[in-house]
Amino acid sequence: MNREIDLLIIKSFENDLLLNEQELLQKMLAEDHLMAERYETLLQIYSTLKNYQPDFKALFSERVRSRLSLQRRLKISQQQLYMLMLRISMSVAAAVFVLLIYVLWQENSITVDGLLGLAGLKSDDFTNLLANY
Amino acid sequence: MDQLQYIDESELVLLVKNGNEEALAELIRRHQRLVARVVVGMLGNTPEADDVGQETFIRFWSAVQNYRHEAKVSTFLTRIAINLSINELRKRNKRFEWESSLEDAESRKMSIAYPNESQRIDENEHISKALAAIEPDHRAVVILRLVQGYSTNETAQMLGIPIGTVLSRLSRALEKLRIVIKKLEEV
Repeated sequence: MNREIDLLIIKSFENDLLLNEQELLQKMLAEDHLMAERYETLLQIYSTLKNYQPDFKALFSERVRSRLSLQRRLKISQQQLYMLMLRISMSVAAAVFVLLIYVLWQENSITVDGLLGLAGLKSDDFTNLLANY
Repeated sequence: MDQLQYIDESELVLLVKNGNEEALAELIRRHQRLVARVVVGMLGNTPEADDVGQETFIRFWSAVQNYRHEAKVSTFLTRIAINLSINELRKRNKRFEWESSLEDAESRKMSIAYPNESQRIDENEHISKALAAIEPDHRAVVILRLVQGYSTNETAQMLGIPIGTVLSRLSRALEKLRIVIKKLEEV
């Protein structure tokens, strides 16, 4: 019951009561002093909350800006770190590739003919190929 | 900076969009109390509230390119602030659950609801304490509806809940606030 009355009172604060609800509320407030007291209390809470004016500590705006600049610096550092890692990994990959080629070359397991796909090919093969064509 | 005080909010937002930090500072000056009412109301007068307040404006700065003036800046900021506060309370609850396995849960609850009881409190602190005693979901409704003055409909939209839920949470919150305020007045 209390909740229903509260809802009626809340609606009255919002000027959202239908005519019959308004009449009912007025009648209840006039007849029941406990309810009138409750109405006053809720009204007081409403007005107290409207006057609630907390604020942040001084220099709030400066704190926001310094945090923003910190975030920006952090983002730049992350980008720089990413680029550095990318360069290092590409250099390492290139070095490994060159080393691999060098080792294969030294062991004679790699030749220019081999790389060009001409290894084991004889001049007769070339003549036959032209004849068939 | 002084000239910025007199310019229209839409022009100010345009300057912020162009990366003008002085304009951001002016925007903060105009709206910091509004954001403080939301975050301090939700989280109490704590360092986390200051952090969430700062984060609100940083999120605004990051999202300002997408801001299309469909809602007022104040509404946009309130939405960010209330969402960040709710997230912070969830994190706090997780911390609390973990900590309460180590400590006595009841004594922790009391210290959250009524911090620094021996200190003299001003009216804002009085209200902050009363707000801390109500459920976070109910608190969000009270902050938006009664402190910020949004209509029941707007409050429902911001929190993504039906109007009936807003009214019932408001009613429960008021009942609890009535009791808590009475208790605090007796202290």
